Amino acid sequence: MLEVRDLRTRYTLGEDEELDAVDGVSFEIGEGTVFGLVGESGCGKSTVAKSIIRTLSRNGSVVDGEIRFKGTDLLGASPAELRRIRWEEIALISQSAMNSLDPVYTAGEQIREAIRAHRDVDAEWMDARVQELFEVVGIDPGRAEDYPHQFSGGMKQRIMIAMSLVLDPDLIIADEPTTALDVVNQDTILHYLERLQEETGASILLITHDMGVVAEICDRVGVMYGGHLVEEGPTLDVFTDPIHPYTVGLKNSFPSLRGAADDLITIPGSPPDLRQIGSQCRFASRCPFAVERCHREEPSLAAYGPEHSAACFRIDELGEEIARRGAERRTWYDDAVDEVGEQP
Amino acid sequence: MSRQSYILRRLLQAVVALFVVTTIMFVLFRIAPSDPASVALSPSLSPKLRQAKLAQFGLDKPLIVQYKLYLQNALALNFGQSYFYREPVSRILARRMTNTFVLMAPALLIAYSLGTVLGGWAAWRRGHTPDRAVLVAATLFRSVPSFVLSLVLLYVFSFKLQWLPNGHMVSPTASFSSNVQKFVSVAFLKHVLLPVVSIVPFLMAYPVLLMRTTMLETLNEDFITMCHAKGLTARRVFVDHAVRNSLIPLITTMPIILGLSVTGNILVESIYSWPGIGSVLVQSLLKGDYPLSQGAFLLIAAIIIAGNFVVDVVYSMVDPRIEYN
Amino acid sequence: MSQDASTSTWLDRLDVRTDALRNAYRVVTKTRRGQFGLYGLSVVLFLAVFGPLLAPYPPLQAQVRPNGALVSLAGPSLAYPLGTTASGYDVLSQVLVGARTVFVVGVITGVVSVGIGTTVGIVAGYFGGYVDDVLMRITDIAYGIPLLPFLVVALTILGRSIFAITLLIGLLYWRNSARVIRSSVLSLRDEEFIQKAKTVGASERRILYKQVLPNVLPLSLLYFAFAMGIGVLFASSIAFLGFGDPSRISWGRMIFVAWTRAGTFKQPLWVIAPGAMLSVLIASVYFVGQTYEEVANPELGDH
Repeated sequence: MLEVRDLRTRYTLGEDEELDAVDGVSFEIGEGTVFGLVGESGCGKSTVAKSIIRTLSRNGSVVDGEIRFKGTDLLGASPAELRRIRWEEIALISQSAMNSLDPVYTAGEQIREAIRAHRDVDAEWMDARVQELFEVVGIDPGRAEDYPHQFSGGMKQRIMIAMSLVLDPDLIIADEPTTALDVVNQDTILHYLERLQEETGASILLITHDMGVVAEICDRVGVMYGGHLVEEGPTLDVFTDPIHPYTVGLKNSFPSLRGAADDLITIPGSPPDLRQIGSQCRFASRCPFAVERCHREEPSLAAYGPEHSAACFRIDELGEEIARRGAERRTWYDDAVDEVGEQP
Repeated sequence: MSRQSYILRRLLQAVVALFVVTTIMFVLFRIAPSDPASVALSPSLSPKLRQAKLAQFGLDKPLIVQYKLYLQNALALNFGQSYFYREPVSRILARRMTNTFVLMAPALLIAYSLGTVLGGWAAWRRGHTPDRAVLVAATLFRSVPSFVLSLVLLYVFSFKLQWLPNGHMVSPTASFSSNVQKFVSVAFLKHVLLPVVSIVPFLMAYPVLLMRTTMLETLNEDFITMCHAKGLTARRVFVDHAVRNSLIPLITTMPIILGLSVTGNILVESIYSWPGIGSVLVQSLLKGDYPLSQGAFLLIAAIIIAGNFVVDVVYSMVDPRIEYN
Repeated sequence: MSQDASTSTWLDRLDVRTDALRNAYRVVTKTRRGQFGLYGLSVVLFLAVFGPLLAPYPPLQAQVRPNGALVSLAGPSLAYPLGTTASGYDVLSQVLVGARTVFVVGVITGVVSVGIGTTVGIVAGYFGGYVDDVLMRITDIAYGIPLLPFLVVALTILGRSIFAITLLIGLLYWRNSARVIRSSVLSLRDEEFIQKAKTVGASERRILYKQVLPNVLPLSLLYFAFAMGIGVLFASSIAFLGFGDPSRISWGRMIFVAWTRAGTFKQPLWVIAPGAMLSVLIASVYFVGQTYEEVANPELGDH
């Protein structure tokens, strides 16, 4: 369905400063799969999403790589072709539902607008579809002609979901769909997404920083850090047997996946400044297992299981030891090198 | 709070403002160093006649009583007699109001629409030459005083090229069957062209800059990105969504333009000898015709205050999100 | 910026201030418009200071030819590069001498407007409640009074002195900056460092001086630029209408004299010279202000 190969996206910031927010990322999403892209904020996951449907901001551009959707080259597509694919085949659920709806048009109008841009249908069909979608996401269809500010945050997000489904897209990109919501709404939204995916058979690219969300509904997951994809595989495998030091650290910092809370760790330090990074493993400065090579070369994704891969030089040597030692606090707080931020 | 009580509150504020302005006028004219009546009265009048004249103008009573009378008269739209025209002030002003209106209404309309379009265009071509050119032009329009521009235009088009008349609303010898006839006549159009062209640039500058700024801010909003993601054409996103959302600040800042238009109006009417309210304010002050000055000033202030109020009402109807607080 | 006054010496504070100035300079010169604005301002400032010294003739000295005839309404020549007025005065000299009045009026109007506006804005924004309500009502009323009509009426009554002019403009024009400063203070009030200062027990006066004011100052400076532009515009407009200070030469008054003496068309330089200077000054001040604003809000720029 979607093939991303060696994607590199660059942002230009003012005075000749550039950074590659996405630096050589490759992954695939099959038909009917839910793929999660997870990582800290600033790791480039949102940029990946924007690169796919080309809604990057003015100072961003894709400088390398290939993106193929159902065989079509997205990066080389003409503006007209791109417009056609947008929404009809790839839909977006954005992270800021609060602001993703135009305040001066009603919800129904904005959904109809999406239809009109792609199909030539009569008003009745559109109205029926709007009603249908509202019901699917559990909002009273009578409110279709209300203005965005009249809905709560959770409802707005559901309207976004409804809107994304209107043309039965084959791929839905959900960029942090639950981040701005409270826990109860988060659950509801995920529930809807899951149901919809089952019913429509669409693929979903779910972008989030919340491992718990990924664990709930994703079939496969990719872990990003500093613009690189550091681990990729079936969700179960990546979560139960993480390979990459970063994934191991993440796993051990989330209460929902561990037992007692005082066994939790936080990875000391902070993400690297991508403006000044050279060629090296992005995680090296915070990694307790880093050696000299890690600061000089970029590791690439290598397979360590039937569908499970990770990018790290030390896996061959240490293997399961990484996961074992990474579960202990001492690994992170005594052995961490270089730019350690605050000691706990 | 409902829209009704919002409008009521604004109305109350407008009335209070009007009241304050009226009082300020009263105070100002009473503290004038010279007794205003003396200006009109010849010094050769005998004390008794002088006293009678003062009584006629009501100037011999204590201040508080004068104030009360003044307010009562103002409410009845009675501003007394002009010292120089020997006519009721209200009649003079009523006559002149039409003249000012036929000058300013077109000017404001053109300035606002041209300004909005130019500002929008600059935002569309953001970062390229048209944008920069518009920015510079708008600043120049604000910086060249309208009286300087008027004089330059007069020099070129009236004096040197002799294409257009050098002032007045219609030539003194012309006669027309009705007011409407007068205002659509070619003669009138020839006379009104330069004044309008003199004042439009100054009025236009603010809408241009405001529209451009608002558009640029709107274009950064998340819902614009979402519109692009929906596969809408760039033009549709720009017009249906960006422009639509950017128009609201233009409405709310109307009062500022209105205020500026008063300034421009006074200058342009003075230069072109246009028989309107602006020119009569200046002339009456220079001649010491205080009742007329007061009346003209109050009329202008009332128009401004009323204009502010109307804008508030329109805004409350236009923005679906308004919170009345 | 948030150094405790008792521990820093006045040298340190001077350093901070020149740093801020250098920053401002760098910011303004980023665009060509900003550069032009700075040049324009420097030129006028130079004239304001040295103008009277550079004037070839006394501005109110009637020039006569060798045969005794008045050099009235003469066009540009070597002796009189910008020609002469109807009364035989040298236009160039008048322009040079008038610069000072115009510039000073602009600056003082700006200072008064923004001074009052900032004070009102800070007080209303910081103390809120009843005080805020009252001050905002007053601001609303100030908005309802049209500026030029008020000026001409007030000047007629109170006399046409240059002090009256500067004060009166400032007396109404503070309304613009007041609103903006108030919003800025409102958002500032809830910021952490103010809360911290309060818990430490700082007096309100101290908080206002040390925390609120420095943060609001850039905005005030921006509005000062615009207020100065408006000040010059209005002062020259009322001078043109005949309400200016007759004892001083200003560019607006020059055009007034030209217009009322019907010299405009016979000697256009008499009007064009002061008119161009006015435009340059006002445009310069606006360009500088605009550029500064764009840097604070990068989306507004044309980059």
